[in-house]
Amino acid sequence: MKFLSSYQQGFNSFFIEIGEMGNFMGRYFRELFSRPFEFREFLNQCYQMGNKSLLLVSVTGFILGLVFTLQSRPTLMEFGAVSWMPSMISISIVREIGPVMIALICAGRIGSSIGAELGSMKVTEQIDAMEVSGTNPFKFLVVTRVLAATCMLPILVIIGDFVALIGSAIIENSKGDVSFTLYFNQVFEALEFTDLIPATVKTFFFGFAIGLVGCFKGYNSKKGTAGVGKASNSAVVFTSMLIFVLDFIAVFITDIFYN
Amino acid sequence: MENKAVIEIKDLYKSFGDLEVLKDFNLNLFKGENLVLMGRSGSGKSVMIKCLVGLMGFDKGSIKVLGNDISKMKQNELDQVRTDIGFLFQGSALYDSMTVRENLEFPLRRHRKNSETKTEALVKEALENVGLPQAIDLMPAELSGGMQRRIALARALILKPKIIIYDEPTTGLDPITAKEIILLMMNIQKKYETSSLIITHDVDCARVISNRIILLLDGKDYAEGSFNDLAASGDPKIKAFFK
Repeated sequence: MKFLSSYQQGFNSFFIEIGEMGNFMGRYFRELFSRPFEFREFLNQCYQMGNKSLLLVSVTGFILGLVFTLQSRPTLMEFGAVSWMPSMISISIVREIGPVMIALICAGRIGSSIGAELGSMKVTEQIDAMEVSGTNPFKFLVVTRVLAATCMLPILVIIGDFVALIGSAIIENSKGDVSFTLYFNQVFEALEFTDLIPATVKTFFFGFAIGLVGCFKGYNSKKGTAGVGKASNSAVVFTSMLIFVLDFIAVFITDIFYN
Repeated sequence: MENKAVIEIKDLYKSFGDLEVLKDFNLNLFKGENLVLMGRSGSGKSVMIKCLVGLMGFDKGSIKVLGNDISKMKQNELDQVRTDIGFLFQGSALYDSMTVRENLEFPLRRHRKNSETKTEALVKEALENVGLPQAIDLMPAELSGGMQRRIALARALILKPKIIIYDEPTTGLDPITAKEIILLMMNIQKKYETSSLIITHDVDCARVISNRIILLLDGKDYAEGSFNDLAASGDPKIKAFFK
């Protein structure tokens, strides 16, 4: 019985948190369209999230392209289909692997950083200090971060996808004597707008989820410094799970529209 | 000191579930006065000031700041009143991702439409008031506890508020730095003619700075008077604070 009641308690607190997050999201949209706009802080956050994640995203994308090509090559060779490599790699990376992998990397890099930053601001009364000075901390801290994450993630994914294709082209060039021009010709022949548009649209939602969950966890963190660590950790865990759920929904909707 | 109240708290009641923190608490802060609020840890002093600046709601009673009833105000009206209140937090609460300059510019950029030159001059003036003009480009993490407290005071003063609330201004500081902070508070009060509400456990601080002291006990304003009156009291509960 104890076992069951602890599960029930877990379920209850999960749904309560979902409700609170819904309220938080509602407040975000209300504050997003009301004045004043914290444009300077928004640009600062775009720089912090975009520019400072660029190296990580590029390295991850490059290795992804290398590894994916190296792993797929023997299987395709067995079936005599190695010439399909650029098409297969580009469609897989652009449609699915690139957005999801880079969103997960950003959930770790951006989500945890937002959770920890806002959490520590909360426990050291910096958020209260902002409010007491007559500034709306939700607008300054939350709206700018969520919006910046929503805008930056699609850009990071596009860059990450491109670098992954370069990595793949390097392997193809060194192992299969495929020139870069031929490789990218085949890539662009294989890709269609129906691959690019849904894949890009879903990255806005991934970015929104990363920003929103990170801010929610940090803004509502409790229990001193331990709460900061917990906020940062749970921001990454919850966002990662949410990215897979959103990805499933995006694939499902795309399937309805295009097939 | 004038006989006009800038803060009026009447019958303030605040509870958290079954725990009654403030029970019909009353307080008046008069213009130009230094009022010290003393009480044991957990007696509700911080809850009271959070209610006072609108960071926390309350169950019953009324709070008027500069004649405005804060429970009946809209958010933008409350934000406007807050610009007349400077708040020095116990832990300084400097924005740690910003330099000292940016910390001081933060309220100015939001509430005053000054030119860049004027903003720069006001920041420098505030830093000179607290004796730290050289710290302008440092990050809060590069400052000692005493310096952080001074910068926080400069930030609290930058909008030239009419009221300053000090939440345990000398806690965690060595006796010399604590004395420096107390002197600074007195100089500022003289220079800007502010009214101050000081929450402290520090008897020396209360003795030097107070015009009047209120003791918060069991959620109520238990006793009120000058430092000498309260220190000479025969009530054991009051005596315990002045040992």
